[in-house]
Amino acid sequence: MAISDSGDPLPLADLATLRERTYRLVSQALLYPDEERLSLLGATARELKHDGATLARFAFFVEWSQLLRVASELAERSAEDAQGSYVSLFAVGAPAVPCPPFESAYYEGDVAPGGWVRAKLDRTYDRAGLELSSEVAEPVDHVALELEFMALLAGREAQAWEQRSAAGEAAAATAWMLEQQRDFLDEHLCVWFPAFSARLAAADEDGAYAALSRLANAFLVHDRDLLSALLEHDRTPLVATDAHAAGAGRAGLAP
Amino acid sequence: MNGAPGTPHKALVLLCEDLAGAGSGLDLVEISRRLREVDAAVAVETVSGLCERPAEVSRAEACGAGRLILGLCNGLSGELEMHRHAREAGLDPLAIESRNLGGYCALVHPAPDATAKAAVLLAAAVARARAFTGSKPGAVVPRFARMGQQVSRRSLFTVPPIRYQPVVSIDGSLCAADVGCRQCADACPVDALSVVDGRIVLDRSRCEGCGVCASVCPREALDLATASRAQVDAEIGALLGASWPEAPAPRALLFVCERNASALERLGDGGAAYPPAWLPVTAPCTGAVSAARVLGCLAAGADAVGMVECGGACPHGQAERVAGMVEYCRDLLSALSRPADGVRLLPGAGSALAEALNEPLTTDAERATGDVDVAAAFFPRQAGRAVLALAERYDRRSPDPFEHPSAPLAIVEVNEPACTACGACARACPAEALMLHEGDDAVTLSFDPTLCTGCGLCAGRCPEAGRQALSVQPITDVEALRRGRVTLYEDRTSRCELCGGAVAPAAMLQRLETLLDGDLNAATLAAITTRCTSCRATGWPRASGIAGGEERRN
Repeated sequence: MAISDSGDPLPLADLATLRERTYRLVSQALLYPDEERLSLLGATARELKHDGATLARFAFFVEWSQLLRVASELAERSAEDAQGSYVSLFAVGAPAVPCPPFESAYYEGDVAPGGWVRAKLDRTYDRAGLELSSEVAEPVDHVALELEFMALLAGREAQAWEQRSAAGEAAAATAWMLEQQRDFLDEHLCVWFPAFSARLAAADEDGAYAALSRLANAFLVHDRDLLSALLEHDRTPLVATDAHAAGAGRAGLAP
Repeated sequence: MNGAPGTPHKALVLLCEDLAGAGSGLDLVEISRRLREVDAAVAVETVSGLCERPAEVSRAEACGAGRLILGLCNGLSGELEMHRHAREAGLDPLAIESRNLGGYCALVHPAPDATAKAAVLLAAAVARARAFTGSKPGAVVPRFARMGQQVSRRSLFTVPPIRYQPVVSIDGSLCAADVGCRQCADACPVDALSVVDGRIVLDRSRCEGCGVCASVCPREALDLATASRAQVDAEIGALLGASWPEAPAPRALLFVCERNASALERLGDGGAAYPPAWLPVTAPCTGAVSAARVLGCLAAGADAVGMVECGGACPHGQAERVAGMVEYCRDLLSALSRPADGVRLLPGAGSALAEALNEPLTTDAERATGDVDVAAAFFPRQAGRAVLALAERYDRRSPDPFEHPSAPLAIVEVNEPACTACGACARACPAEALMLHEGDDAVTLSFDPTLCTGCGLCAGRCPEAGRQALSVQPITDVEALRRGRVTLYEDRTSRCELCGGAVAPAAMLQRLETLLDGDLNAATLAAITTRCTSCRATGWPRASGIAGGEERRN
């Protein structure tokens, strides 16, 4: 089968940016829907749809397009309506929350099963040079925060590609940023998001949140595979670099 | 794009106009008419230069079709581009079936055979497309094409061309890994499957989508989105069941892998011709076509089944499996007094393939006609049933049993003096061929050869293997298949002295006595053999030395 480029060349920096915006969109959609947030959600979805036409080369495009559509539909609802749905599904503090939006709720077991998850996330965010702003009310393992973390990592990746491209250095140096994202998906999001999505499917049925999480789940699966493929591809030297130089490049990027 | 739940997807067939002038020329109007006769919900459109215009797939969106079938003059070039256009139109690329009607029909058969066959192939493609139920995320894995050493600075920082590899998906609720089955992992040519914590896990980065694992799974827990069992069943059913009034009588199925499909398509370029009786079915790898599938095709009405081989060049290393499977089928046909060449292995190389395709085909006088009940013919996980279906059709008497290393089934026997009716074999059997029934007075171990896949897990689990309690032989015994489930071993259930509850099968207790003789005092032994587990805790026999170690030996 002839491998030909399907569409205009897509710079890796642009791909990272589009992924960053997608993660941010889903993150915002899973936070409490006040008026301001809803209108911003609608605008973001529209812009992303326009800018993301180039993503048709990826298998996730059909579900990604549907994701944007669902987000737009959610944004068109009245704030009270959306809030009603949100609270009934994710209500914090209610005795039996149908779909807890926190990673720790999805681990069974002993006393305070979530404790180690939160501690681990604190360390992960810390190592990435980030800390939660005091304005944030959600706990550290809230789905929106984990998604926002992915967005931030993707954003940094985009910057790194731009810098590398400008400096003319080998692509291999950004490998560790791809690994960071892939590892975060492997250790956190991809582990519990499917269960979260399944609960929403049961509790929300034809609702926007169920559709949103189902499509976001598809995106997560594809994204994790994409990161793996980029890492795998990256390992094949496109230009001759010795292991030494690659190692030095890695060290040079540590914050 | 989707039909309402329960209604079939609308299917759109696009035909390249240039087919009318390719080779012997296809009558596109006639093809259109026949397709609509088979399925009134199919829409057919003729498109000028379709082969070079991948963007035309967006027509599916315009007419609300959820399934798309392409009839092309030559192989798909610009496949990635076509997929991109499909996605832009909201269509999953996996919901598209394409058929090279130039290479498969117009260039190798005379008119009007070429037209009639093209209609049959398209109808089968529609059936296969309809049987596609949508892909879950993760059904395909991105792989980047390797680029050459000549790489521009700009291209270093752009996304390389992507190829999407279909990989298997696993239904954990059906999987029998928790009882020790690992047939898929053992069959995988790239070690992509492993057992972790009693569950089968797929390494998606290694899977090549050959489908061999799916073909050996006794529980049908594995499947490929692009070549699911349902899709292949539907396609074969349509090929064998299609009405084809002017067709020459033999109708033969030709299984060809993706690698060899292009060789088959290009036969016409070299001026070769072969009988239109050969109907191609593409599989990711012919190693994934099981004996049960092949025998099922014969039972469903095919006059012959051919497998195009890659031989030593098979990228998945399945040459031996395919050759062994064909040999077994031929031996079975001979045993049933049928011509062995009802199943054939054909070489994959161009001219040799053309020659092989021209070898004589005979019509099976007893071939089933009319609607084919595919469900009755295909038992992918139960080759025994396929053998039986074939035997029932061809030969009322039962041929002598024969042994073959590639047999897809086996006969299990019990060496009665050694068996203790523990049931470990029955618990291990993923196909439920072996079953242990615990009744009031007796415990019975039974075996149904029509379900057995010859995996041998039972023998592996038998605790009395040292005394050859259980034997598994790759024997095809039609008489045994006809008999169905038989009792292999039966034993009296020993009853508790105190409450009358079950203790254990008598043979097991005897075995325990033999093994423990001299190690336990008589009283303890008596407690084990005459009391059930609940009653042992209460009132031991009087002269006891029970659990305490120092009192154990009197």
